[in-house]
Amino acid sequence: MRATVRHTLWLSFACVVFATPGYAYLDPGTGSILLQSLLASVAVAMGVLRFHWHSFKAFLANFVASSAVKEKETGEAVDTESESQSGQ
Amino acid sequence: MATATSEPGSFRDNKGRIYYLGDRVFRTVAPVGVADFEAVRATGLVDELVAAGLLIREDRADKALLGDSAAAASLVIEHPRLPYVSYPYEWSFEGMKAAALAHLELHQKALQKNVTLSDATAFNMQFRGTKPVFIDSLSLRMYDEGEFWAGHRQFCEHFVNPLLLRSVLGVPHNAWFRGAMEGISAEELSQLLPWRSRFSWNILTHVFLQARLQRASGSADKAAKRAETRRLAKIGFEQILHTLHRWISKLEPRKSGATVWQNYANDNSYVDSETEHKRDFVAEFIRNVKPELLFDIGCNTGDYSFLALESGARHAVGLDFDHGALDFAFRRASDLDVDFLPLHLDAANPSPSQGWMQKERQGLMQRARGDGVLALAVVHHLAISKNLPLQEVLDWIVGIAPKGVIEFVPKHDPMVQRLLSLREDIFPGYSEESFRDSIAARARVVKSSVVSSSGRALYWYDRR
Repeated sequence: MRATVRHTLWLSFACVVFATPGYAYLDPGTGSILLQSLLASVAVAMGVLRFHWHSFKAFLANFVASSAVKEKETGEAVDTESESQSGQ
Repeated sequence: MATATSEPGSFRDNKGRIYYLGDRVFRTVAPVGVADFEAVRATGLVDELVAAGLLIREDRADKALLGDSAAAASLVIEHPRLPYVSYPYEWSFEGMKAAALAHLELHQKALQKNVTLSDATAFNMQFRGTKPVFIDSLSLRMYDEGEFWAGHRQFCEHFVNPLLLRSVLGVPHNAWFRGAMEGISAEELSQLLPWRSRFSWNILTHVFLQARLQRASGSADKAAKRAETRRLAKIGFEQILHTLHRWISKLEPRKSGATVWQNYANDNSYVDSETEHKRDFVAEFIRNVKPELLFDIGCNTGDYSFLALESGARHAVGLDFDHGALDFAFRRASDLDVDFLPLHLDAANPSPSQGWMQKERQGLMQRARGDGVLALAVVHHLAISKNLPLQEVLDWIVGIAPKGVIEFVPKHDPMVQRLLSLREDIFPGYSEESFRDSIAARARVVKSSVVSSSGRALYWYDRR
């Protein structure tokens, strides 16, 4: 997962920084080229944000779930044996 | 032996050219383009796109067939002939939208195989029924890691901006596109769109920002230098195509209520039994003639084209001036998956021959060579609303196909009375007698029948 984030960040960086002259029989237009770098960077940044948002939500869900279990554990006696069996 | 003639509109790309030999269509591939041509084919993409219906089929052909025309070419391929060639300024909003989406889908599939497109002209899209197909197989070329989408600006000018004109402002693109074959530029459109449209991220960037950046680059070459030193990662390229596709698929014409002709199917001077009589007459004509290509002039929402296709016509092209009716007809044909292409036409001013040397794009009459024509409830609009001489209207219709059905609507019909309600009747010669004589002077009348209580009559002609 972390590798994917690193990969995405690297690509978004690559979008902005590296250079190559375009070639075609058609003039692509300077406005279009500048816009494309911006659009690509924004799209990739949104992707990264979305990924982080999902991780954040997953973290929250995890946190809430684990604190609920803890509450349960501290609040009353828990049959750990049957729990571990059901977990298998 | 017949000699090959070159397609006058096929000159922009130096990698090849289109030639015709009788009814057959060939494409030469020049030495400068052959390496890319073979590399693209080695990816398997062409077969995949042809199978998906997105790209026109191609078969290797014998160079010798084209004689001297192909002497300098490295190789020659043959394409199947399309039933009809149409231009973006004849498409409905729905047609334009379908073509734009198909173009993006083709490009997305291409990028997966490291292939891209060298341009994005809408003239490279054609229709088989309502299904768009990409016809310029030489536009496909190998993708260079980091390169920009060369056709982005052209895609905006040929597809996005014409769609926005109707979607945001409610203005059809057809007249503007016909007058400006390079499409509608972001600079021009940004002058017209309302300020509030900047709240749309896609409009803000693809129209306003692109126009601003383009203007800025026009005044100083600093921006051009900046552009030259950029690189676009493939993931960014793919994301731009994906976002455009998602956006365009949601664009709709600006709501303006049902247009006159969308209501026509329920609002005319026919009663149901009379409609049945009219349909029987048309169906009998089609069963008898079995036209390969049928033109339906004044097609409205396509009722009679659908009937004709059910009765034995192979392809139908509908022509009408009402944008709402055309959009409705396009969606309907697409949903029912029938071979019907509704196109925009002002019969009093059909598409001219234009472009470079006035040969690049052919006029409607050069392309409209059908095997059958329907002109139902249309002659009175041309002869009365547009003041066109009745004999010339019939000359025009009969010129489109050797066989057809033309409807005469008498002056006392409520529909003609409506046309005359606010104007003087300056049409003393508009009568069934002169209509019949005019047809008889041009063709044999195979059959005629009065099909409504108001005296509407159908004439089946054959000029062979």
